[in-house]
Amino acid sequence: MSGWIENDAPWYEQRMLHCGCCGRLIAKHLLVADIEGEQKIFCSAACEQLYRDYVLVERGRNYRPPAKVLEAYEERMVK
Amino acid sequence: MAMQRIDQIDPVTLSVVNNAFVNICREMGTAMMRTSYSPIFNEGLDFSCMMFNTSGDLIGQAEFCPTMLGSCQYAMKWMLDEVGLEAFGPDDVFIHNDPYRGQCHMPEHLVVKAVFWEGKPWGFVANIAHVGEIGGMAPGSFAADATEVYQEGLRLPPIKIKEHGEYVKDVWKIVLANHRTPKTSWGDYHAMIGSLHVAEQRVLELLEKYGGDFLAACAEQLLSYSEAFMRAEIAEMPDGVYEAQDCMEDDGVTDRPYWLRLRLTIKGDEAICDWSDSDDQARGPINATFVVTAASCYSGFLHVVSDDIPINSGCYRPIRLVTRPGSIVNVKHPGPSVGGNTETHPHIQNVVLRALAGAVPDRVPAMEGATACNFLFGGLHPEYGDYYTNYHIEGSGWGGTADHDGNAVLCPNNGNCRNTPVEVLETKYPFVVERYALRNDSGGPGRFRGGLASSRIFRVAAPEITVSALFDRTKTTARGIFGGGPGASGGIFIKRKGDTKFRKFSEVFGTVSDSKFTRVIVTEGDEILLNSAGGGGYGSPLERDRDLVEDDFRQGFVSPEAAARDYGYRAAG
Repeated sequence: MSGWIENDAPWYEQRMLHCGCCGRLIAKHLLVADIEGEQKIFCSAACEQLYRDYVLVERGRNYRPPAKVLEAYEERMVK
Repeated sequence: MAMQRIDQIDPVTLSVVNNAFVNICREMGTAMMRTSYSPIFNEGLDFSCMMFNTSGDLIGQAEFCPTMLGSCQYAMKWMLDEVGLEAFGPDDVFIHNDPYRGQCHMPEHLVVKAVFWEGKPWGFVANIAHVGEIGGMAPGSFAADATEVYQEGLRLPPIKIKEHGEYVKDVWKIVLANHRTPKTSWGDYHAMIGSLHVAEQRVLELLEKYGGDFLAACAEQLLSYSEAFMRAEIAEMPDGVYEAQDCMEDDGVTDRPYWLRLRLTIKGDEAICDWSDSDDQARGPINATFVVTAASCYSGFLHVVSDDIPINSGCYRPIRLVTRPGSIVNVKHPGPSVGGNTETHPHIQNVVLRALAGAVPDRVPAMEGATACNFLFGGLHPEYGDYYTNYHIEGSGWGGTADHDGNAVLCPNNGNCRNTPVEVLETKYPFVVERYALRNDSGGPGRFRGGLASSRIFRVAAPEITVSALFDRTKTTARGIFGGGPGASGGIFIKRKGDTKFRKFSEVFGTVSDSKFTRVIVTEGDEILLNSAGGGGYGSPLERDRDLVEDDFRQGFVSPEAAARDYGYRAAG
């Protein structure tokens, strides 16, 4: 279940809130969603959906690049 | 004129309206070019002009800088989200340059004015421009060894600089007190604001002709049309996962490469640009903000799809992004990012195009030189007595394509800037340009050759000048594709007065990086050599048309040795 809330930081303060999918910073209005028991924030419904359909499936939570990522990309890249 | 129904706008009318939007933006650009003070504006044209609807969607733009045109919707939407539509009054002008509020990098300032129709905002006219001096730790505000955003200049959240047509004087005082060349900033800001007035008049003329609701409906249909067109283009690409990588050679602070990695998924009529495997953000200012990465992806796709797509927010919608905050493609506060817009952006775009090579191989070029060879300088003018600063860029070679050689000495693919004529440079600044030439053998060999790079020598004609530089591709090269060879790397070098040869800055001044340094003092008689980077070649050079090889050889673009080695060509006699 998701809902829109407003960043309640006072006018003289900036909170750096990043969308959980695309990663962009969110100014004021953010979408909060429960994703498998974890509350995540998004900049749009489209990003929430992409997170569910793609990021969770392909990367998983808290993804970090693997150790031999350079060699893997070099091998798969068009030369 | 009989008015059409809003739900039945014909394609001819839509086309006329789209062209009107484009021409309004072009006219804004002409106004800025003719009224600005600094060469980066009036010679370099380092700005973009645009129109938005009241939701912050880009509805009109013209042939300006891709990085600004792809990112501006984010800056505009941030502004609307933070201050609200209700904050905009008639004859108000807002300004905003904050990379942590949707902007590309600190020098890029967005100015915006609402166009009022029948008592309420109909839309916005705006421009983004590279203000050449905004404070920070280096003249020209391009601190190549900055380690945080606060060293890069004065950061402005969305604030009014004009209210009901009057100056908000306190804001102007603060801004100009923090710029090394306030008179130039004053003139350039007024060029930006003046162009908004020009655009406002033109939009009002359109509103008189079509009415507010009909014109808004046209804009909305143009957005839908562009989205549908882009979706159709993507749907024609084969579904699949395509990967590519390229690196920034260092960050000005630590001597190591930083990798940009893209996993591109084409699925149906959407593309997902997943940058999750890119390196963590750098200490130095080569980090890209999210909007720079987004703009690079959009621009990469626009290189390989139909030219007929009207460029607005609609065509960006099917291109989705996934980035890790705190990575080099999405810097987290307080990381620096001034170089991310000019240097990292074209590298990101190179990676997008290389990934697309797996899907549409005939449409992508080889990698381009991808460095603007940012050269900043400032000091007291020995003749005029004023403090001056300047932001200077060079063109690089673009990659060869399936059917033509790469462009020579052209602004990297994130910008659309012109070079500054030698005469202008020498008139305004205490440098003498001793050489400005194409570099032979700098284009990567190929069936279609990579574009050539340039070579320029500045001789210092003042007691001292403070210089900074932010280059890349001085140790790496632009890769060829499908058998094409790499372009030549570039570099910046110095020959001190009395010396006999050019040397690296690290050798003479002890800088950490040879390509990224800040506040080096050079003195009269010193010479600085700027070599830009060449583009990669496309296809095997042995397949190059022999007439083209001979022409390259005759023009001096390719040396006899390279012609023989790379192209198997030996001149007669």
